Amino acid sequence: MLELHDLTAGYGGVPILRGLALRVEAGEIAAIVGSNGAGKTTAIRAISGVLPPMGGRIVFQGRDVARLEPHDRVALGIVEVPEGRKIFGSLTVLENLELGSYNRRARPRRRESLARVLALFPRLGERLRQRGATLSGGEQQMLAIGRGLMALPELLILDEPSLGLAPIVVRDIFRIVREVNAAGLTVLLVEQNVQQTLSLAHRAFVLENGAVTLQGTGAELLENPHLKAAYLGL
Amino acid sequence: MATFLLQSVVNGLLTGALYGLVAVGLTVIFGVMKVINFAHGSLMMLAMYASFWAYSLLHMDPYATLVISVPLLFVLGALMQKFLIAPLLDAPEHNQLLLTLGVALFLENGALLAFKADPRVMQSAYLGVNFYVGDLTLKLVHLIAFGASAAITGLLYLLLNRTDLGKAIRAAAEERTGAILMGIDVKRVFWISFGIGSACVAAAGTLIAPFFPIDPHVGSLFVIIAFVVVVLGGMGSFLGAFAGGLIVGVGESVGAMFLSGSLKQMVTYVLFVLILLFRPSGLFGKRAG
Repeated sequence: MLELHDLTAGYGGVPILRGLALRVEAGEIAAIVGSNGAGKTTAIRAISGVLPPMGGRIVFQGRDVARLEPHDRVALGIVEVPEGRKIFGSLTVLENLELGSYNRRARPRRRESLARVLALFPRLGERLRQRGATLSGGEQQMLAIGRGLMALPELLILDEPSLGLAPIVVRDIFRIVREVNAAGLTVLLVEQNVQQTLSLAHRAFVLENGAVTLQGTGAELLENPHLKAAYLGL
Repeated sequence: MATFLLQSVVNGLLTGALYGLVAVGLTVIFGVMKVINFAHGSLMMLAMYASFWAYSLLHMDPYATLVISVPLLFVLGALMQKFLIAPLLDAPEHNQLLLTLGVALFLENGALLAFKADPRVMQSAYLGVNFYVGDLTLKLVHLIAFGASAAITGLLYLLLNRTDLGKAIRAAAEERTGAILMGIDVKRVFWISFGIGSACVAAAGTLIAPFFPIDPHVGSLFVIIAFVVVVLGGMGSFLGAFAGGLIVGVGESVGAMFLSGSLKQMVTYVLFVLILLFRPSGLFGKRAG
């Protein structure tokens, strides 16, 4: 579904990612883990198009999208739920969700998408007319994910969905990720929360200093001694 | 005396709606792009001239010239955003400000060169028509200006709140990255918004042209009033801009009863200072922090 070949990207001429390579297979939950500054969000921004790459290829469903504008990538099915949610606070929950299906592929199916998202997140259904800014952190994250699902993604990218949220909420979110993946959606998850992420993911990549240093299935990595020492404090 | 006061208030409300329309157009531009558009008044001046020439050379009805001035200024505004302002979008705000100021000077002096400084006046048949309600005199040209301004503002409100495009505009204004990730072509939203803001000010220009002398510097007068109204009403607030326009209109009109000539503008500025003293974010503005 997604292949990164020799991807170089950074800010102001300084590369953060140097020749990054990884693969996400259709139908799986893939995860990128690493500490702060490893380049996880940079990689995500390069994939969604918010950050133009300095070099390399981003192949999505057989097509190199590295030169495409972000809104064109959304139309193809690459949908990112950004770090920090970035919902529209002054718009209502309903308006936020409606805007999720703004792209031309998702718009005709808005009503059925809305029904599906509200079935997944009943709490959003209770707050449809409320302004986004009045929601709690966990509810905003649900809204952000719901908004992303409204765009009818082929690949859903979640950038640090657990950030700043209570453990019980994080558990709910991870459960929902498992659910939508079981229904066929490919998910790329970026997280600092290594333990829970590796339990959830089918395949994971450890990013350090802009390159992949370890990869394997979630279970394999949980047993890896280097990872256990560096990230799990064991 | 009471009638005189009431007449002033009514006149003020009627013309205030025009100020409101100009301010609403400016709010769309500032609210969406955070651009301080000093050329806003010059665009209005161009619209007034467009209407004037269409009226005197093509013998069009003064209000029918809306079909010329509005699309023309929409396109001009959109082009200005796409080619002049967009490249500076991430630059410091004072750069954008200087650019729009430069455009204003360019347009003003270009008009001076092309049209000369003598004020133009539309002597249309609408000018002398009055309606009488009790002791009050209501000029037809004022009534049309009020009605059309209110209608256009209402339409704009519906656009921003009921259509996908409008919601996309509001979303892009508030959270640009979030909007981009939803597949909204934010660059396109920006030039459309600028076009809409310019179209509003063009409509205001066409509506005021039948009863206001047109000269190349008329833009500077209105751009200052527009900014006062926008800040007074609360920056970024649509409703505030329109309400602010009405308040300034009434203030000016009542002020003209007691103060001579251009001193009446002092009422506007005194009101401005007073309102900001008690509500620093403007009447309907969001509190900072």
